[in-house]
Amino acid sequence: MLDMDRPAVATVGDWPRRMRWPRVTAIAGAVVAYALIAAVCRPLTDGALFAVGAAGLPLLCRGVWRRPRATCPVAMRSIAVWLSIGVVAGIYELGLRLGPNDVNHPTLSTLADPVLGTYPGRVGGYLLWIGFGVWLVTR
Amino acid sequence: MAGDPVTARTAIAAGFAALAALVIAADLMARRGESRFRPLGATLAGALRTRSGRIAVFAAWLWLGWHFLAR
Repeated sequence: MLDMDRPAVATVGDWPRRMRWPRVTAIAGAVVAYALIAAVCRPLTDGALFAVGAAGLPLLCRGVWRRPRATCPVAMRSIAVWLSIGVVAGIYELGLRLGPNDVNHPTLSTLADPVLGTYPGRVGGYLLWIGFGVWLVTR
Repeated sequence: MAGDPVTARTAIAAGFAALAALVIAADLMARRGESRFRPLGATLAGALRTRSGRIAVFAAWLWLGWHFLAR
């Protein structure tokens, strides 16, 4: 069956393995090093703001101005399915944010605070976030 | 045997867990050969085809980092 969402041109993923792995290993190493260093900064500090901005803004600029890979358009049905789930999640979160502001009615970020309050939790959080960003940039 | 009463906090956390399970289930369903919609990753990659889509997705990503890790 023809997969219409596959790229029409060769991508990094199509490179020979011997050319691909050193690059992938270097990027993964940089991501882990960044997460280990950035996680030293506790939330609600200038250091944390700098840690997020120092990696986030260059990646955002590169991602926005980079020439996109040649991919086929996604059908409206796919967009509708994922947008619907996103809207449901957004309404749920917004309902909690506009509701009573106490420990019994936490938002997602309030629920995540005990985890992100620890160094290992923040390392995991930074790994997820920056890893997702790198994945987006390579699309 | 009666257990502890379900608090509002527990119910809300269960709601988030249900949403996460919904995303995983939908993505797994999309990866089946006969599925009529694409996985989340492929849909996001499709959104990145246009400049406006890239701005929206990367802005959302940066906001997530700021909100959860820095704010």
